[in-house]
Amino acid sequence: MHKSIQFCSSVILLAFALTLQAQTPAEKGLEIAKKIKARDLGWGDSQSDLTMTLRDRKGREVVRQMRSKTLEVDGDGDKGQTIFDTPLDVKGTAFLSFSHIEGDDDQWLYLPALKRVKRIASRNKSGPFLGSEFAFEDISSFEVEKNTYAYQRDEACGDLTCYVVEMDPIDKYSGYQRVVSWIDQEHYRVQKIDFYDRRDTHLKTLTIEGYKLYEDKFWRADKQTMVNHKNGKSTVIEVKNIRFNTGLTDADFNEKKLARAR
Amino acid sequence: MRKSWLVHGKNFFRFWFFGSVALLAAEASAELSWDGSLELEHRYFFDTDASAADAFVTDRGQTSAKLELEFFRDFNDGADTLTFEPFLRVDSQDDERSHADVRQLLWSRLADNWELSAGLGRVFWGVTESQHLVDVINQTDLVENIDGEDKLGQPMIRFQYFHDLGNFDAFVLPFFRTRTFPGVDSRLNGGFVVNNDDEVFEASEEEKHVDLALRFSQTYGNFDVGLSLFDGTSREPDLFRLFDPTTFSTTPFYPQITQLGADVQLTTGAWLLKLEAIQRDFDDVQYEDFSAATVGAEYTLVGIFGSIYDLGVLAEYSWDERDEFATGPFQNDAFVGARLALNDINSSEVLFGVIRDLDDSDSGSVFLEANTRVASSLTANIEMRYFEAKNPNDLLFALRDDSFVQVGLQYFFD
Repeated sequence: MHKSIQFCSSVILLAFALTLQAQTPAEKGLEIAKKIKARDLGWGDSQSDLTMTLRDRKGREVVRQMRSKTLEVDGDGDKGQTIFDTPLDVKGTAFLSFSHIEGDDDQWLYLPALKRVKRIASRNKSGPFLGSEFAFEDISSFEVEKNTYAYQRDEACGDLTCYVVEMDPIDKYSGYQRVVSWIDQEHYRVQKIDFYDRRDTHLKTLTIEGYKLYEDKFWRADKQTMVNHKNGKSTVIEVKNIRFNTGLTDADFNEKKLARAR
Repeated sequence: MRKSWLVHGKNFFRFWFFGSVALLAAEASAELSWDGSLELEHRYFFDTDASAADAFVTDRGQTSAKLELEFFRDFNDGADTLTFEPFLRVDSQDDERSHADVRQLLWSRLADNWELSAGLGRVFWGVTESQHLVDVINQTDLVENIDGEDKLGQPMIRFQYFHDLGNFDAFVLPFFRTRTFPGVDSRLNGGFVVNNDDEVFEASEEEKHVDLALRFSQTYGNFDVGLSLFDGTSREPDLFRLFDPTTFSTTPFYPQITQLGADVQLTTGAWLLKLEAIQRDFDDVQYEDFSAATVGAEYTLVGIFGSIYDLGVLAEYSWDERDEFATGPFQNDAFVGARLALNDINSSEVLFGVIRDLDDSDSGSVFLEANTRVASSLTANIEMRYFEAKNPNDLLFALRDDSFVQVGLQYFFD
């Protein structure tokens, strides 16, 4: 009796070990990506205040302040609306984006001086977001289906242990050949990302710091620093005043109402 | 033609302006939130002006200052909003260009699926860049710039209804604003004097004719579609009807029109494909009904030549059924333009365009607009316009000596 239990558990352990071994790097990478997404499901809607500091090689700085609203969309990419407060020459400009798992995102821009809402082409995902070192695709919502994955190794990241996973964008209009992410094993939070351009040279590094837990469930970072190794410029996004369950609905993300965004 | 002080164009404005000032004085005890900008600009004309009416205009310089303010406040947890946008320009050369306006003084009640507004408002309809055929709610403030992008505040009651089927927008426009024109002592006045204060209207109610407008707009996947109907006083005056060749002056005549408009944009990949079309019917049989259209395409190239620059290339073609009798400059014209965004920390941008008359290879214009941020609240703007026309019957002919370059500094505050 006792022996048979031991035998059984050995078999189970062996089978488990075998499945682990049988898991290819692609399968393990995909599994990690699915866990990242799964742990961040159900947040509903959120609002926050953002400060984006752009620094050029000579140390000159421009600070952009903006307010952001986001809505989780079941089975597709998130919807987001950003309103700019500074620099004052762009104050009142509003940006509306519906990101999609497949195909191009939908994007509209409201230009207050002309009182005009413009639908803009969104294939420029590799282009800079507002002159920053973040590309449009870097701020788009994380969707498992957008990449292929390859688990590389485990590695220490600060006090934590991280999975290092290569994520290769499927979209041929992406500006990246490959994207290597460090994801902590405890909470599946992205800690660092290396971006490699289409020539496979190391273009940018994103460092994500100051994770805090909201609603007992969702981790959000205070600070994201993107350094461009090619041009020496950097952009820091600091997030403040993060609120969940603010009562936003689909009706709040409407291009026809973008002109009333304040 | 005696008019009561209230309905006279300029006095009408004073009524609104001082009314607004009184309103804001009443608000003064409350916390005020003002934004705005002050711009100083200087124009330099390449030629002395040769046109008959301006024989005495030989100055090549024109200096000007523009003040724009915006006050915004919401009440009742954001259910009610009040927007006030006064505007003032002082010009060294042109008394007509020295003018004030209330761009907006609008109260709005916002609900989830509707919005009601009343006051002076500003609305934009359309998708194309070289001209705006369907955009008929606001009058053009032509003294501001020859490109017609600046608009006067329009008295309106507006109701918007947001439905799953689309956005329904209805306007009652109880008072008409006449187009502003550069004065006799100014450049860019088309070579003749426009008697700004003696306008003639087809409608017996004159400026008090109540205009009506409806618009439906909706997004269908990659298509953004707008359909509009306007019935009332044409924003575009007829300047030929009351032209007096002996004095080289004209009095604007504003006919009654019914205009059906459609605007469509297809956004696909890096392409934008655009169409604006109108059918304008006149009440006066003297005018022939006509249709006109603008079609265009815009393509955006990201990171050109391995840089971080974005380049947008635009091409538009405009057609007008009236052909050479068209009252606008676009009757069989092509526009080609480029927009370069440097994506630097100063948000530097350059816009360049060429307009060519396809019936007359000697007629066309070129413009260049560039701007960059030179300090945290200061931008520098450069604008260049070049006009070419050899045929005296061409509308552009009168501007042939008015090509200019303009440099401006705009300071923003809050």
